[in-house]
Amino acid sequence: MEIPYTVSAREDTGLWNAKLGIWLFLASEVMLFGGLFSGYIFLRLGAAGDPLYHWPSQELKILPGFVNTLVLIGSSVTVVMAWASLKMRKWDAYRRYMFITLGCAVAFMAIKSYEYYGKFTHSSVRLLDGTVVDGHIHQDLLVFEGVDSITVPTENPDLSFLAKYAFDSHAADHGHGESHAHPEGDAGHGGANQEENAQSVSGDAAHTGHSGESELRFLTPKGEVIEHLERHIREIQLLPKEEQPASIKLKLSRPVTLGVKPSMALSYDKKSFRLRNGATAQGHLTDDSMHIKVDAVDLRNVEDPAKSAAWDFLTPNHKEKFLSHADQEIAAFSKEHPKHDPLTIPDARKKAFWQKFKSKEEKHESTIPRKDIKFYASHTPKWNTYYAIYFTMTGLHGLHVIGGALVLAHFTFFGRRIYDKNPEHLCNRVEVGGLFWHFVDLVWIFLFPIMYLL
Amino acid sequence: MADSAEEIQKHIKTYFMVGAILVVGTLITVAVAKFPIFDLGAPGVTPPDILAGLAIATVKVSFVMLIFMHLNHERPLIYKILAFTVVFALGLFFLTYLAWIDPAVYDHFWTRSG
Repeated sequence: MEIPYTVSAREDTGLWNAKLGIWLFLASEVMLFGGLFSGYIFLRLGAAGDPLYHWPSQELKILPGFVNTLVLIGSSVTVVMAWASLKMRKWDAYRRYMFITLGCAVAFMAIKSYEYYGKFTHSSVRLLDGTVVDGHIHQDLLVFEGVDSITVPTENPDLSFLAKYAFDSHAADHGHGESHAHPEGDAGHGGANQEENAQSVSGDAAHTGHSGESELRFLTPKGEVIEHLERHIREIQLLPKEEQPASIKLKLSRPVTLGVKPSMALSYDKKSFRLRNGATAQGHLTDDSMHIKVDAVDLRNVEDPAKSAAWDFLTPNHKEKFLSHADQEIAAFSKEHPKHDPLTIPDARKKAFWQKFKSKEEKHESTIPRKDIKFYASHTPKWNTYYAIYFTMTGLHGLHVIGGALVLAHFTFFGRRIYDKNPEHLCNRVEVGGLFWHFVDLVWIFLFPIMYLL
Repeated sequence: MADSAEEIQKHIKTYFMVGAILVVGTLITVAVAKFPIFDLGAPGVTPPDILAGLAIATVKVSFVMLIFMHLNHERPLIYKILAFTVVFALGLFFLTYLAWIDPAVYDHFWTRSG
């Protein structure tokens, strides 16, 4: 059956059907993005009322956003040129412009992915005195050494945490030579040591993976070796309710070291911890700090920058340079803008009190005691409302780019059949796809200034 | 809308010119936001800078809509659909404004009787 009005216009609307359809769809898209833009305005106005929160104006690197803007503008020109080429029945030119458009879509998403990766791997830590330090977290674990027994709830005897968190002192000796282990590896790149040693205590009585290390086995509280752990647990679970203990205690044949993610620990002290899955263990807490390579310090919320908690773990040289640079910035601002108080101008405060360590020598491996940390997160929606709306809007926009590119790719690779049958039909289809693509560009034209520049 | 090959041929130059205008508009927005010499109002990003940035973005968007999306000569029905959209979208932004008014802060919004 022939679908009517794919080429010719209906008499009542004056439009071919797909055109009316795409404009109705774009109208709903305006409402969708309109809601998000109004949400952005609300968050930004709300942030202005909080003296301890600085809307992260110009926090993103401008260059990738600028290049992406040019890429989308270029693709808008090429997609309209593809349509015009079809109208002029120039098939080769049409394909050429469509390929450039698709290349732009790929380039846009590649640049966006690069930006997202940078945000996911970069973190900020807010200390109790208002200091914020930025950097790459190397290790963020509660390290318990000498763990020789664990207890799991009978109802939920989940031992998988052992495979996740266990590593032994041998691991620490391999490459780091420090008293505590670094299960996340050298630069937070996946934790080779952690994975290697994770295998050491999973299953019934697995091996350590290190020559010379004794096989780790589970024992009953009386010291009897458990040959089949799962069977042992099942036997306890099958006991009559009145005889069934609330928890199952397991001794380990030798002490191990566990590095527990703080977010997974329900509670802990110097000698024990309780996980969210109900498991508990005893040991000695040997490391209760975060190891981070600091690349920036933000003291805008600190009353006296000279007394910031950052100077407890950074060098005196950092402190001296920071304070002298802040003084210089304040003096330069006052000279240039004598009518303005630099301490009331957000831009001046940012330049003076949020300093980035650019050279390798300046970036500092620091250890921050957990008791000094108020909050920390990667630069994701968890960190602040700016990143929440940034990822929501650019993420949704990115999905539109992918969707639009798929439609245009379909017309590029499979359009010839329609073209041979009725070129005007393909023209109309490309026009519809192009209208959607222009809308994607249109949204970005607003997103770029509000997210990157203003 | 241009339909014949001859008419479309005439528009090709316009498409590239609009592309160039969009690039120039982007450069101006970056300049206003980034370089102190183009700073409007107080130093740094201030409401005048934001208004300028959004005004430039609006001009750019207008070019995209009028030329690339052919809204400079479309059928009346499409303008009617868009008119409704604009009204509802403005309603959304007005709701944002209402939500911003906080009774705890703005006492003219919340008067205690007696």
